[in-house]
Amino acid sequence: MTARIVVTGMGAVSPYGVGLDPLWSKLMAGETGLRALTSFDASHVRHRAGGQLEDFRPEKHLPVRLVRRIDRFTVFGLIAAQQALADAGLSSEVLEQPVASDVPPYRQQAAGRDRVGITVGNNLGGWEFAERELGHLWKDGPRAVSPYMATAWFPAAVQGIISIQLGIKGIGRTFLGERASGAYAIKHAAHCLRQGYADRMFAGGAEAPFSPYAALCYQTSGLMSSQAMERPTCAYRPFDREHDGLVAGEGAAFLFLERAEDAVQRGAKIYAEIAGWATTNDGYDRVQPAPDGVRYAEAMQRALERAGVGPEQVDCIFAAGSAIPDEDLSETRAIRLALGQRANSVPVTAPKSAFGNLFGAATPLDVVIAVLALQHRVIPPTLHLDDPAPGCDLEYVARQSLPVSQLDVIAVNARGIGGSNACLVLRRWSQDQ
Amino acid sequence: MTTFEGLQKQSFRDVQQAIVEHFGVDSSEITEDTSFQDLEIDSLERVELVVGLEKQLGISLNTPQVQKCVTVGNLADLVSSARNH
Repeated sequence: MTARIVVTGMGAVSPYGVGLDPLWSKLMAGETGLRALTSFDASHVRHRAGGQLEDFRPEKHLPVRLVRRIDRFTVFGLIAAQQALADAGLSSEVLEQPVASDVPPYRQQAAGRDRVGITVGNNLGGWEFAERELGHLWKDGPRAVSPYMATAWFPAAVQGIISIQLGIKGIGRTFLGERASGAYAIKHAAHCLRQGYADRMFAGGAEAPFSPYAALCYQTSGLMSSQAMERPTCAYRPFDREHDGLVAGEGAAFLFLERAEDAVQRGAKIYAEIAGWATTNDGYDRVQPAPDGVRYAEAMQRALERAGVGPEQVDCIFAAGSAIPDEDLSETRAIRLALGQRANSVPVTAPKSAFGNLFGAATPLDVVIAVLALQHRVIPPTLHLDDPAPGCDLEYVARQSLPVSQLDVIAVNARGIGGSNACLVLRRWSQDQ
Repeated sequence: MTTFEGLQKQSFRDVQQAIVEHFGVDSSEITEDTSFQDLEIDSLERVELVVGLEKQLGISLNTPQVQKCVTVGNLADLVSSARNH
């Protein structure tokens, strides 16, 4: 029988703060996590709003000596991964222990950390570090550049530092697929567990997008909302008539994944099952995804097929919800193509409108929220969706959360620049499925 | 006039103080014979320490020689020599 993959631990650093509690409670309260940017002088860009962590003190969570050597995005990632491990009821020492003893052949050699892996989604790398040190280079010369520059700035730094800190010695991969990066990471982790390449996987993403150069790159990409100057707290408006692009957020989210049989055997708390996953590519344009949504729909259909779930069984869709007008339309089209009649009634939401799009961490954070939604049987709202745009005609959960009696299957969509499409299907855990 | 011995003592105190400031190590744990390995200061941290000392003291240290330093005293000697030039 094919192994089932479950979530047994979660950790998050979101614009609402550190941990799952502020994330869920503030989402439920309909509190916006967006505000005018203060972490750098944003006067050279139009999108001056974002989901920015305030009063965040890394040294409250990590040793000062470590914090000085790593970029902000790695700080977020490491805190989230540590939380996921603790939430799974494990410590770094326990990772040494092999999983169940009476096991199929591929696990007879499993004896510890080489069977624990990590996959990470990221988009930008560490620009807080890079911009500061490039400034030192130009102003004071090469000797003034931090010796940690080489190991701090690049996107795989999160994977490396978490591996070192938690003693992970198995598979380690970092995915760069823009806003779909984190979805690719989770998909790959689930695949590795199912194939028996690893016994335990950390899967997530991290992003710290608020720096002058990174902000400029985003502006020239044309993806960002321009209304941030007038109304920073509600500029991110997926599917709304006044949508004009996305608003960035910073943070990280990590899941701890394992095979269901192992989780049951060790008596772990099981949050949910990652039942299906698929990715497709549009191959259409450098920036724009294909307007017809055909390949995007195929990602959803294949993920549902893998999960053994028909369209009528989907209880909710977490949309990628970029709020870029053409993308909102093509995502609507893709959901209709994938779900047929069910698209007329399935609740669709994009909770990230409340706190920003975390790019490489966007899908992992969506998955964390979706798992909490399954637990509470409440669909979190799409804030700032006041009046749907023409052509955006799905059953959106707008403005207020929606308690529901039936919430067992959630499809989480992801779409990166140029149409890197992904879909993950989460299912309420039941041993008898 | 500063004696060579006085300069050496001053250089050790400067290195000791820089280690305290950069790595949060208690100064009582740092003697001339303490090795960087004992203090868990890796090669990158040593570069960080040396760049800080160069800036603070207005000196220039020879990188290959710095990398050969095993103890805090070895580095203090290099600082002393650099001050004499």
